[in-house]
Amino acid sequence: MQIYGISERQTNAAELFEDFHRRMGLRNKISNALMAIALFEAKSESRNLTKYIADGLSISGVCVSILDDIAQNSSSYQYRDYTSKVLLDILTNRQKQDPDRKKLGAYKKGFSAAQKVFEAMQGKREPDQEAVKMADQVMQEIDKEIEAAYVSEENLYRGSFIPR
Amino acid sequence: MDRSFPGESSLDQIIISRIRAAVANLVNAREEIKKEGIKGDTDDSLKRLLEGIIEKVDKQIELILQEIQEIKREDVKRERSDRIHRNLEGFLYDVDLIRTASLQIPVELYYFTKAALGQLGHKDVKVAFISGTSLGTTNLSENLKNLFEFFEDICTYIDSAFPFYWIILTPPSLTMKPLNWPLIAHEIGHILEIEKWQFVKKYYAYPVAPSLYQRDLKAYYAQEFQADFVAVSYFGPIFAHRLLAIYDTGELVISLTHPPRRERFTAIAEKLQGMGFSSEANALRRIIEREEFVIGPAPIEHLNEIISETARVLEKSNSTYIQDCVEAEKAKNRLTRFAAYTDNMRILVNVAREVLEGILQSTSDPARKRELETDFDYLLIDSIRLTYIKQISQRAFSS
Repeated sequence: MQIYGISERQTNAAELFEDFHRRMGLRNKISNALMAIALFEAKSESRNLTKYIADGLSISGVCVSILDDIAQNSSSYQYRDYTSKVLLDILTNRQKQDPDRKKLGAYKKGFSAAQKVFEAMQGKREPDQEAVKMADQVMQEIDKEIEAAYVSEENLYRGSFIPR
Repeated sequence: MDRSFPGESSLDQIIISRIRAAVANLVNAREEIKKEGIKGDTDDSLKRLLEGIIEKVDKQIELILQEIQEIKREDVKRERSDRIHRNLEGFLYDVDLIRTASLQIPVELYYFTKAALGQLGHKDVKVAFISGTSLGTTNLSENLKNLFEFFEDICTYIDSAFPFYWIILTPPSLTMKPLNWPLIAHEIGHILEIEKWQFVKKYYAYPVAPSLYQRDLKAYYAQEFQADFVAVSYFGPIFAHRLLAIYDTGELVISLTHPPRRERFTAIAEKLQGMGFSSEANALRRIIEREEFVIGPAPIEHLNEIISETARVLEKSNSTYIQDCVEAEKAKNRLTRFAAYTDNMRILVNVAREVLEGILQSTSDPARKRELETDFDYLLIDSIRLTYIKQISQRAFSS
C-alpha cells in the first residue's frame, strides 16, 4: 500500500491533546510506583498504598514484556500500545537508530527487579533491598527520559489551541 | 552558623502550601464555572463533570499531602510534588481551554450535533466543541482520567457519571459556515466507532500515535472510510458536496491519515447510488474519474465486513437520509424567500447550497454577494435553532 510519508510530526491538535494526556497518565503510574516504594518503607497505612503497589506491579510487568519483545525482534519490532511506543522511542532515539542494547538490558533488569519488589509488597513481605534500589532507579530514569524525549510535543501542545 | 532564612519552611511545608495554593486555583475555577457556565453546555453536563472533579480533588488532596509528609526521601517528595503540580496545571489548562475556546461556537452547532446523535440512537454520547486549528475529535473522559491516576475515586466517578464525553475541535471555517456543518457527521462516525461499535478495532488495532506502519495506516483508512459512510448515510449528497469543496478549496486541513481523494469519493458515490441519489453519484464520478487510484480498496482486507456491520447498525437506528421531493421543494421555497424552514435539518442543509447559489446569481456586486451570503448563514442558523426547539417541544407535548 502506498503511503505519503506520514510522520509523527504531522499530528493534529486532537492527537496532541490525547498524546499529552496519555503521557501524563503513564508518568503518573510511574510516580505511584515510586510512592509505593517510599510509603512501604515508611510503613504507611495510607489507603492509597494498595493502588500504588498495583500500579507499580502492572507498569513493571508491562515494561518487562515489551522489553523482551524488543530484544527478540529489535529490527522489526512494531509498538502495540502507548507504553511500548514510549519505550521504543526512548531506546531508539525516536526510531532514528537501532535500540540501544545497553539501555535495553539495564531497563529489563531494573523492571524485573521492580516486579519482584511489588510482588513482595503485595504479599506483605519485606522486599530485597538491592532490588528496591534497582526498581527505584529504573522508574526515576524512565520518567526523566520520557520528559526529555517529548519536550517539543509539550510545547507544541500548549501552542496548538486558539480561542477562535 | 545558621544559614537558613528567617521563617524558612521545611521542604514538606513548602510543598504542601504550594499544592494547597494550586488546589485553591481549581476551586476558584469551579466558582467561575458555577457563575458563568460553559457556552453550549445546555444541559449543564459538562459543568457538572468539571465541578464534580474539582470537588473530589479538593476533598482528597489532604490524603495525598499526608503521604508526602510520611515518606522520608526528599527526591521522591519533590518528584511527587512536580507530578501533582503538572496534573493540576494540566487540568486547569483543560478547563480554561474548554471555557475560552467554546465561546466562539454557536449554540446551534450543539443543537445540530445533538439532533444527529439522537437520531443515530446515541443520546448518551456528550460532545463539547472547542475551536482548534483543524477538525478532529478526542475522548475527554479518557483524557481526564489520565490526569487523576492519584485519585482513584475520580476515575470511578468519570466512568460512572460521564463515560462518553467527547471533544470535537472545529476550525473557524467550519464553525462559522453552517453549510459545512454536515462534516461533523464524519467526526460522529469516529466517535461512535471508538465508543460504541468497534467494528474497525475487531480487525485493526487503533493506532496509538501517527505512524508509518502499514498496520496503522490500514486502521486509519478503515476508520475514515467508515466515518464517510456514516456521514453520507446520515446527510446524503450535501456531505459529499462539502467534502469535495474542502478538498478543492483547502478550507480545512485534511491530514495524511485519510485515504486518497479518488478512493474516498468512489466509496461515497457508491453509497449515494445505493441510497437512490443516482444523478449526484454520477456527477461525483465524472469529477473524480480523471484522477488516479492510489491504493484501491483491496489492501484493507476487512473493509467490506466493517462497512456491512456499520450499515446494519445504521439501518437499525433508521437514520438513513431519505429523498423527499415534496419536503425539499417546501424547504427551497421558504429559504428563497428568506423565511426559516423548520421541519427537517437534513433536508434544510441539502437544499441550502442550491438555494444560496441561486440567490448569489441574482447580483454581480461582490459586496452585495458577501452581504447575501452572511444573511443566508444567519437564516440557516435560525432554521437549525427553530427546528431543534420545535422537535424538543413536540417531544414534550407528546410525552
